[in-house]
Amino acid sequence: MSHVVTIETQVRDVVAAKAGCRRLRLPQPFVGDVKLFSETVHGLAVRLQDWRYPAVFDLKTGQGRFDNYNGKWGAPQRLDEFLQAYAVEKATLEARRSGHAVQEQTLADGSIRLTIGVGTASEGGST
Amino acid sequence: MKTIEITVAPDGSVRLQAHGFVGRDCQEASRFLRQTLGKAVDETKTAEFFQTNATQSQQARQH
Repeated sequence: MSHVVTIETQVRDVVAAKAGCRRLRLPQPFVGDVKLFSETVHGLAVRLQDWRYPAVFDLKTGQGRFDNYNGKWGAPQRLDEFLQAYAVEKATLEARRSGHAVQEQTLADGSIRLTIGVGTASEGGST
Repeated sequence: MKTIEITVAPDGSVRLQAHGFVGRDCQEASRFLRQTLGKAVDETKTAEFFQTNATQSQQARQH
């Protein structure tokens, strides 16, 4: 390998967010004004499992707004799960758009590995 | 074979590694992913990156 990049996931793609929600069997996200406990925010609202209020993502910046009351109104792990599902779907989507084949593998530690063959056709999709 | 390997951790963070590329080709090939997934917080060039660049420079000087 010649270089390694670490990326902080930012949610800016509605299509990938919808696919991420399908993967986790969450309700489909929607764009709109959403009331949290003490404020109303605008963005892509994702209803996470067992969360009192949705997590809302600004589609321009990718930053999330939420109020889970330090975990009492929603476990942080549920948000992490969504970010993982979103990143997997977004990377797969972008790789296929560029004409590359994608293979998916779940690792023992819960990570998901995507292997993208650069320059290979994406016939058959991911496995 | 040229591949880009993406590992998405349970917390949603992404680690991108390029294999089989020469020098800066790996950065070009993975740019579409770096630009769309989020914000790059760390980038490490391995020995292979510099070795291949050095080879390219050496070849260029000889011609």
